[in-house]
Amino acid sequence: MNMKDSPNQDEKQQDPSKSSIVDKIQQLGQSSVPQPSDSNIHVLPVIGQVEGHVQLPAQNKTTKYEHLIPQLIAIEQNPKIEGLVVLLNTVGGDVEAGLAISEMIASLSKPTVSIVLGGGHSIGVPIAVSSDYSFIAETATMTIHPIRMTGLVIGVPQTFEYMDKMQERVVNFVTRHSNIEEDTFKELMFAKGNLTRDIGTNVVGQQAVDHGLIDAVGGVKEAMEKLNEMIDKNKDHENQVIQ
Amino acid sequence: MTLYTPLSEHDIFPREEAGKVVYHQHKHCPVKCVDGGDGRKQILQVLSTDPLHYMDPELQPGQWLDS
Repeated sequence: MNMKDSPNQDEKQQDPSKSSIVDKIQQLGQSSVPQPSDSNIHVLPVIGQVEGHVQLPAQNKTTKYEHLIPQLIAIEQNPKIEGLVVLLNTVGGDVEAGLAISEMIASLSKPTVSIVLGGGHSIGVPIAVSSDYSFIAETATMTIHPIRMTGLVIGVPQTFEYMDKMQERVVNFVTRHSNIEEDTFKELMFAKGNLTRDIGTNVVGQQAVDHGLIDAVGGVKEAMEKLNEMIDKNKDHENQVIQ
Repeated sequence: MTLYTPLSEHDIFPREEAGKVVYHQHKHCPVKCVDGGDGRKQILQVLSTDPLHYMDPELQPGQWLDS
């Protein structure tokens, strides 16, 4: 059937506002979507798997590094953006992509706050701790476990060394950007009896704070308050430098 | 690419279905096969409790059976 003949097409042509509502219902499941006011805070969601050099199969929900990295550059360059909130609900993913995103967040000159909602597992841990201040929801979890591999191994000692170095990169980043001690983090990483099919630990809400991995338990309100406080401090500091 | 995730490999990369899986008896041994479409079946897995079936060269995974 020709698109011009379709009844939906006719409706859209007759009433554009109606077609916009239909689009919203189809895309977001609701007729009206709340719009953010002009804000000096940018919100960056990291949801699903962190996708790197290789595109994951279609049934995976992913956050792609080619989408995030240019956004982070734009955040740094845009003078209207004064702070960043990173919303995390991720199951982990590509190590290189995760570390790249973490390093970029950590090197931003503007105040950053992260919130772990639901889960911030595996490579989500370095992303969560990369911000200046981190929050975890009371029910959110973070799985800390070793990096593993499956498949054919050519050169066992070399492969082991490569994997060990990769794991060290994660451990070093996390311990440099949070208050957790390296020994404690490795203890959680190699703990036995906590996970059903793996070694490692699943820390929930307050436990992540107690271990020094995350700064505080909280949600959106706490994160926004903290970020606004940091933005104000940043402005005061800039004013002092100008004077 | 190295993935750092608690998900299993098969949750991320689904196994490709090679063909229709059928269950078959060959020489009194139950086997799981994939239907070749031309009346033949290829053994995927031996489902027997008799250890001798696992030693039979005709019943090894990958062998083709004529129906």
